[in-house]
Amino acid sequence: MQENLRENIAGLMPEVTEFEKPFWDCLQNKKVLMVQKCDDCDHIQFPSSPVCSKCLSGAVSWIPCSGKSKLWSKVTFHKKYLEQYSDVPYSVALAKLEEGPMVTGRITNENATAAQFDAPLLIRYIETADGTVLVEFVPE
Amino acid sequence: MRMSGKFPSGVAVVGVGDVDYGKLYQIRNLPGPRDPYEMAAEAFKNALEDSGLKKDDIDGVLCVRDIKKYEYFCYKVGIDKPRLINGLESSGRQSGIALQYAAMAIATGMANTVAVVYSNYGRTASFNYGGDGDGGDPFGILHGMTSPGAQVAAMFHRYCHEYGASEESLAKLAVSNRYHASLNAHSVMKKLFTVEEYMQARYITEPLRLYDYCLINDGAVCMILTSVERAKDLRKPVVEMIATSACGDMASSYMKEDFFYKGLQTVSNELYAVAGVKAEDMDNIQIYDNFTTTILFSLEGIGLCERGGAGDYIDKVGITLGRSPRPINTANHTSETYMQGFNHQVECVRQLRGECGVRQVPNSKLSMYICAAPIISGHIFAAI
Ligand SMILES: [Zn+2]
Repeated sequence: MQENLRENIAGLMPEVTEFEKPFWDCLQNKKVLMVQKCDDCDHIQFPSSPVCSKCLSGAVSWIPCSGKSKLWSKVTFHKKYLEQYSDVPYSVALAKLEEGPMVTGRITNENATAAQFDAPLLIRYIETADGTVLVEFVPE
Repeated sequence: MRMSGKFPSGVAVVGVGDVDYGKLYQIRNLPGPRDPYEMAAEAFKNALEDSGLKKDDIDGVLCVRDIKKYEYFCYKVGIDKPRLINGLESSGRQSGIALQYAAMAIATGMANTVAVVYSNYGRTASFNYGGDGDGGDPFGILHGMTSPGAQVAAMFHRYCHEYGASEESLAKLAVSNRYHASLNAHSVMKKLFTVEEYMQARYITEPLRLYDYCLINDGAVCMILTSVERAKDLRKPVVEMIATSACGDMASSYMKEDFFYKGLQTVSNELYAVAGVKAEDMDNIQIYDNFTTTILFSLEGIGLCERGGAGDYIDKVGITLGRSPRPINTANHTSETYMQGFNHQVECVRQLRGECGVRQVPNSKLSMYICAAPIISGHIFAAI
């Protein structure tokens, strides 16, 4: 399926807390995936935490990731689990950002089949039918 | 390492009870979901009967999964003043932990005789495992990544890349599990299949196929624990829990980049140290297998082979009754029943008692249970 035809993705959105609102706003409005960086020890983390998971500092800042990443693994779904993703088979990619954290995102079946493990990827931001912005990994 | 204490010491499993999973599976067109309390009561009665204890001897009850209201369960079976009573959430990692809590209560005197009761009506209640995003991080779910099975599929795909493993290893595990289940009259699936037939089955979350997945079936299990001293006066041969250990494997999703390796090492090394034995001393091993893949990861994590060596171990040492010096998974989730680790723990006890009939591993004196999940847990049981 063309991702811009995918409907009601917002129905899969988690409850957005006050703390995580900047992350989701930035993804949605600026099409940038943010990770967290600790002001005290430079540790980078994703998904988010209210504290640095390494030194417990509360001084954690959102920083944009470059999008440069490497394919860690991939899965192709043949069973329908979610109504939003009933167009099986579809694939997802687990990629390691150059900043460190692992991120799960969209990948086309063609790219999933072709991509070698550890192959360099970039992030492309895609908009679904309901306007939700998602992360798609594409070959560099 | 532990700072103090010799635990467990003097704790035994004295009663095991379950239901006929295959028979329940074949009954269709029920007017509604099966009653989880009814199945739990049957398993509880069977375990009591098996132990020779009377109901009033039970002073501790731990309820797991679908008997969510432990007060209802106790009311329904007439236990009104248990000294230890609580409930544990639904995930399979709780089965080993429930036995640990029972053993801790007995060792400390918080209870003398504890019934751990588990019930699962997932099939007739039509639970959509993984459909609500269970096992994934919220960001992943938005992108279509859901279900622990998919997380495990991602791990297996990476594992194949790192170690050159192939889907054929999973096929051999699935075939062996089915063979073992065919030797158990109460199993859900008994029809044998071949490696070739495995390869022809449909993918669920590629690279995992249908036969890599646990069943979804209804059933219940009860296990009764007490002191070894008490156990000596009871009906069945004494099975002692000679070691137990657990270790969280905490991350933002079910997926672990090391395939649970470090956590499995921590748990199994502690088990061997406490019991004074090694992996090769086991007569049979029951490995939590929500997916066949977990067996591969566990064989390596518990030290039976090198990292990436599980496929070779399957071929050279063997996993199947009659071929292997220590058969793996004479009880299992992919063909026998999905009682989330409880059926494996029951099997440890029955093997050590010599009660498994055509499925019996000859002269079983030591049996190990291991579960790789976000809480990794394991025990070693011994016939004494
Ligand atoms: Zn820090």
